[in-house]
Amino acid sequence: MANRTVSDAIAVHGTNPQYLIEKIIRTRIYESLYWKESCFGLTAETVIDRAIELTSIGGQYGNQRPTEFLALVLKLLQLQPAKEIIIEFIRQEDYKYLRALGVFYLRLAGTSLEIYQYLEPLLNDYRKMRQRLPSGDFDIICMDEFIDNLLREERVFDTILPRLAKRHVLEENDELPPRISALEDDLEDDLPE
Amino acid sequence: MSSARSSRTSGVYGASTSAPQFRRTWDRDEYAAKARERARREAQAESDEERKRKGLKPKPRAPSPDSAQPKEFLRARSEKVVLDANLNRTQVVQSTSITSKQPGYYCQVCDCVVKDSVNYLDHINGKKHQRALGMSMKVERSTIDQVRSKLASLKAKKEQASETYVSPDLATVKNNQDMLPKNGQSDTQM
Repeated sequence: MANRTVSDAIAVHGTNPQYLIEKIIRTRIYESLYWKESCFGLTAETVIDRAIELTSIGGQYGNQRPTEFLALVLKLLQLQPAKEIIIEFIRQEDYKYLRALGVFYLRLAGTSLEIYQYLEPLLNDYRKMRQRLPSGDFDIICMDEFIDNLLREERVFDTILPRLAKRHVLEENDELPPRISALEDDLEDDLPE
Repeated sequence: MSSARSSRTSGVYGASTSAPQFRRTWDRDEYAAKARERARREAQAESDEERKRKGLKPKPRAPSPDSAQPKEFLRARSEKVVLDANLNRTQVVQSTSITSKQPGYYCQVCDCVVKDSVNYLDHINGKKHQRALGMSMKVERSTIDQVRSKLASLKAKKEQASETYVSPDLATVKNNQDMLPKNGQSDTQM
């Protein structure tokens, strides 16, 4: 079936990766025209073509229609590409929506450590993206704002994000070095005064 | 007629009737194989019938060579599906047995008509249609190298496109520099 997860997929957070998107939204995506027309038979390679055509990110809009961004996230969950591929999506600089897609996928399917490792450097990416609001209007959201939402919020784009271990816990276990903010230098300059 | 035939004792083809090339020759091996296959099928049917009488399921068998043909990986469509080809067009519908003449979306591969666009998309994404095209429903797993080369090619294409866009623009600006004030005047007049 066109909607089945690949047969060699590994369970993510104890379930089928596609179940990370709630049932009702998943069904709406499966029924959407974009899914049927443009997402059929995609591989991790051809998802790039669709991702660079994106013009906005977002959850559901208007009459609870899922955005194309969410459909591509579901496609990635279905395909379960290798971790390196997702990291390649995140690392490339040319296409911000491809980066956003990789980031959202990693936040859903990655471990806490990976999420902190790969998402926090992107807090220095200030590019603007268009976000589709639930009303159907567009709004501007910057990449760092989006990343910050992913790291803090429980629910982004009508999707419940899996629990993220607290940063200080990982730091105490020596799994993660303390975060160095880009503003660190400015802070030190200000302190003596 | 029979008298005419009997008068020609030598046969229609003259003296060479005894020559063997007029006889049809039969490929004995092929027919023997066919006979064996038929005997096997009959034996199978018989055993199935017996098992059925005993209330058992028929024996599982190796798939026939027809269904075991190697299948390709699923391919994404490269072009958009044209769903509005007949939009705003009037069509006289007659009761006909030819499927391609019936109203709706006609699928050439499966020779069937689907009545609306959503069902048509479901059909062309479906297993039956993809089987007919010789595809399995499995998607190829792309490797990191494929993804890297894809991104590299996209980047190269982007750079090339920007180059071809910029250079003629600059050239025209240089050529038309003395023309610019004139254009400005005409704009203000408008």
